[in-house]
Amino acid sequence: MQIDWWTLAFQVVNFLAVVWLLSRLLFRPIRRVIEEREAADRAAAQAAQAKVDEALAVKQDYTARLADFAEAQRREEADLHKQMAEERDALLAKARSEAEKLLDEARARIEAERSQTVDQLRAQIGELATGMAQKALGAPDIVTPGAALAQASARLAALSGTDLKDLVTDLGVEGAGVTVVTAADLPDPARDRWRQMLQERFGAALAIGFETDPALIGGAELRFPHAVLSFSVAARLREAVETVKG
Amino acid sequence: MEADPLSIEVLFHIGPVPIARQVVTTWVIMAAMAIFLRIFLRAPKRDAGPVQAALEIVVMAIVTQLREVLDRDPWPYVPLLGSLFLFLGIANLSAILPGVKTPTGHIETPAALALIVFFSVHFYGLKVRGIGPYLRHYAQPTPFLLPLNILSEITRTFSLMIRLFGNMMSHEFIIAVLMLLAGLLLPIPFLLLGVLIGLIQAYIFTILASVYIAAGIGAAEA
Repeated sequence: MQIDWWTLAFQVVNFLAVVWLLSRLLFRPIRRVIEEREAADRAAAQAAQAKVDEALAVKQDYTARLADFAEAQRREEADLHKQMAEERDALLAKARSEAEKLLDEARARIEAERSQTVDQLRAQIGELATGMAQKALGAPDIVTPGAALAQASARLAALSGTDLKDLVTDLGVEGAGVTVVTAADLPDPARDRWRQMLQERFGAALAIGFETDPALIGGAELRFPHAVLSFSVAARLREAVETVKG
Repeated sequence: MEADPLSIEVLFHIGPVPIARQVVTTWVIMAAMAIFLRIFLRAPKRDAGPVQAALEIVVMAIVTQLREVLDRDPWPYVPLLGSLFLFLGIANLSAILPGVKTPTGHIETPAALALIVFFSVHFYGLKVRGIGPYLRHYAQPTPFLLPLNILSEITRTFSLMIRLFGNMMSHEFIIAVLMLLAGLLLPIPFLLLGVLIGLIQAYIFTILASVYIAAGIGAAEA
């Protein structure tokens, strides 16, 4: 194998020519176009960045304005709340004052009505007390001498057959009798009249006893083994109290 | 077929100077490239057409590859290394055309390219580093390696030449032998294989040249 130096030299020159040729016709134009494109891209990117900066500035301005607006709104709300609170307090004070006034009027009215009622009750109580006193102390049908005996005789005469039979049955038991109880000890003539009245009703064998009980106040009571017939002032007072209770 | 396939085929003489076939083939390739580029890249635009876009893709692929190897702005080295790749690619692929023999199948063309790479390494090394630092880098990492470093400058250039020449020449031989033995159709797969080999050899030659230059300018160790 031999090297042809002419050919070698030609190929060296040829390749250098290729380098020049491609550099001029291919690489430089391509590089220029790419650089132009990159420059255009950079310019577009810078323009976009400028737009972004502008948008950010607008956004910041908007945010600042929004904050100012929010602050102003907050102040207005605070003022409004304060004003509303003052109005509310004033209304409440006025309402409270009116309520106090109404309450005082109501209290005065209630006090007046209560006083009137108390007065009426006192009058009624007085009337009742008067009536009860009249009943207790002013009962001639049982307090006057012989009145209780007459009442007892009339009551026994008015008993129905069944009640009278029950009393007779009770008295028929051996040792049973009737006790006449009075507030004060009866004199003998009075006792005799009681014995006579009772023996006329229940027979001569009836055992009759006499007792005193100051609690009766006045009048008398007939105490049978299983029943009591009372014609006393204490019994009248109890009836009056029951009547008042309703 | 020539009597000695390794000897040059002189087509004509200009005075006493013989003009070999590979020289003429190279001229044709140069003319074709010039005409193609003048037609399709006369006034490149930012809104590229299909051909310009394809050329931009090729150029940017070369630029990207060189940036990775050189680890710096590759544009000062693109005219030489880009031309190497494109010329070698076109020259290697020219063998698939009927009646055309690749210029790289003879030793003169790979030798010329290897010589240019050899001097380019020193040119760029001196330009980038300066005389003193560039000469000192032969004595690194230790002065004892100075003879080996100088020897490697020669041997790697020689290997660069021989690798390209050996591959392309052997491929030509295989095709020629197969055509003699089997006729026209059988070599077609080998022709397709030749396309691959041609592109790979162009890539290898260019990348090695880039690595050598990168070592020369201090961007990388060869």
